[in-house]
Amino acid sequence: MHISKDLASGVLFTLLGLGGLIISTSYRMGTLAQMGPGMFPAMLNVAIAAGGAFVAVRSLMASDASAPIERFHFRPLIAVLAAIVSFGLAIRPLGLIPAIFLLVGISRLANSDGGWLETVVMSLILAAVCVGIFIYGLGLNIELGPI
Amino acid sequence: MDILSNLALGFSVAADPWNLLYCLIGVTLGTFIGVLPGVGPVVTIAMLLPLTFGLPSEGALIMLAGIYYGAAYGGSTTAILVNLPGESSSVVTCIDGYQMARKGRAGAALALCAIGSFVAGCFGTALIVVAGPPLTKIALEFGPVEYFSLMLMALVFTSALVHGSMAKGVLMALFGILVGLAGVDINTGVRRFTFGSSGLVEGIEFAVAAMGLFAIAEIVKNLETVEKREVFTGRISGLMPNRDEMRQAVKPIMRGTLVGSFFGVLPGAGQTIATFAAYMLEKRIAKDPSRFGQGAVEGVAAPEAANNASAQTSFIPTLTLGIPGSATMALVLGALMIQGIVPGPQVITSHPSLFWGLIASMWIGNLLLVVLNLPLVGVWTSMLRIPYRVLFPGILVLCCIGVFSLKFNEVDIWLVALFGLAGYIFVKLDCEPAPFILGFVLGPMIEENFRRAMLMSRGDPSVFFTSPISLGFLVFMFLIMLVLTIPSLRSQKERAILEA
Repeated sequence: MHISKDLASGVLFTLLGLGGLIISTSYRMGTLAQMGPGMFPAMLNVAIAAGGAFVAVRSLMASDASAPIERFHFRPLIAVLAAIVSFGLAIRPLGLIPAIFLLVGISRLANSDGGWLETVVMSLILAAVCVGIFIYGLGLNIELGPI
Repeated sequence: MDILSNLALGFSVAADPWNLLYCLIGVTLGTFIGVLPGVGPVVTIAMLLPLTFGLPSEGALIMLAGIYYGAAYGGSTTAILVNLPGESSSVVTCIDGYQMARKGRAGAALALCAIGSFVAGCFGTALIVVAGPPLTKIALEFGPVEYFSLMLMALVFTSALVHGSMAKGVLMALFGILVGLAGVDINTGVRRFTFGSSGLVEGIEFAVAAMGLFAIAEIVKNLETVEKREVFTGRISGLMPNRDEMRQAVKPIMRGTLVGSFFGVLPGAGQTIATFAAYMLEKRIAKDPSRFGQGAVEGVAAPEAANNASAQTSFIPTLTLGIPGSATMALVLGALMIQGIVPGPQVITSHPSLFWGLIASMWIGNLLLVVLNLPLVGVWTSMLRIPYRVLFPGILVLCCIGVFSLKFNEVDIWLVALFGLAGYIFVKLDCEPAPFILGFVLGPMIEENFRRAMLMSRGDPSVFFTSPISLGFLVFMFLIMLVLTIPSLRSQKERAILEA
């Protein structure tokens, strides 16, 4: 048996709704006329969980109505996310220019096209353009390199 | 007289040299990304949102709007020349536009697009001028009850009209509302859904969510497939359509404009559906439908007019009611909020120079598109040669610096990565991000209006059905839901979207 997109999204939303409901109940509920901070989120999460369950059950009743989940392509996903995170890690201690080099270099691992020379040239150009626009143009207060 | 003085104010704002420059930058950038497949207007606007912080509100909005309708125009350029729609709204133009190009009438097809877009743009602008103020008068009468029902209707419309199942669309919208609530509750000061992180206390920045869900998820998705592109190398000769083509195009342009305006005003419908509807209409009323697909002039003129008309008129619900009709409009609304302007019917009266300046700049922008782009067609098509592997790191760099410049807080960068991951999972599950972002923007307003409505009715939920306007919205909403669950109509909608 394959797991269809509808089944997976139904289960996902049910879990999100239930999790959200648990968090919401930790806030004060109040009454309908005087709602506390927890009331509206709780109602919302009940709706999300119920809707998710509906989608999941519906997909089980008619299993051919939804396509099976496509393959996840982990290489571009991990490369792009790792590039963003490394930018965040580098921007304060190392400064803007090393952060851009890291971001471009790691993101280019997403596929095997283009050589390292292209990566270096691109990083240099992007760094120059960004320093021009953001530091000199918009006057952002970001360090360029390690102090 | 009111209309004239308003327009005069608008043109005086739009003709300001700086605003003209922002308009020019907007439409040029818009055309550029419209030409490039895989980089849509939503991504570009999300990416540039942080850059508009430093601009005055008029300039920011004028530039973002320029990107929006410029992209619609650029998308049709590649549709005609390369049979490659730069945007989903120009898919229909491929059918007959590319055939015209193959017959050596590429120049004429491009000119017809430009003329059709311009006529539609003028009509759309006029419609906003005429319909905007009375609509806001009505909207100012709305209380929290009516507003809640209206926003609910807009969310359901968007959820119902996106690709895929309505139930999942509604779930995405609800989840968007929930995420939009994160941060301090304005009524009680309680921190909700912050997970103990101080970076979440003020709520999640709109630009962060939009960038992760649209830009990052789209980049990963585009990187899945190996790219291959072919570029039309034939020369374009004879830019002007001949007398016969002009005569054939007049009525379709008018019909397309009307169809597009209708779908533009309707929340949630959007440009793609408008272009399909316009094409279907032309094919149905044509004396000889077999010409369609063989380079029929009507098949280019009508959808292009509809495309631009709906792009313009979708500003009507956004600016007069504060209810965005599409993801792009939600971004425009987000830009308004970033500028410290509370969206809603009071915008026209409290910021007249912003509203009328934007309207006037759209007209000027359309003129700029016609004047600038026809001679530049060669430049635009050569842009197609830029490989995606060079493009996407640049987008990432702009996104990251833009997000960091919001609050100089690394938490926002982690959030972009997190939303990117979520966006990619949603793509894999066929869950559209558009209802999510709409719910995200409207979330706090929905809760606020719901709370106030309940407070005023002393906790009696029947108030939503006893107010006639609110009841009207809810009945309309249920009708749409009902119609779209009827199987035959549903499959037609799917076909129209799947061809996209």
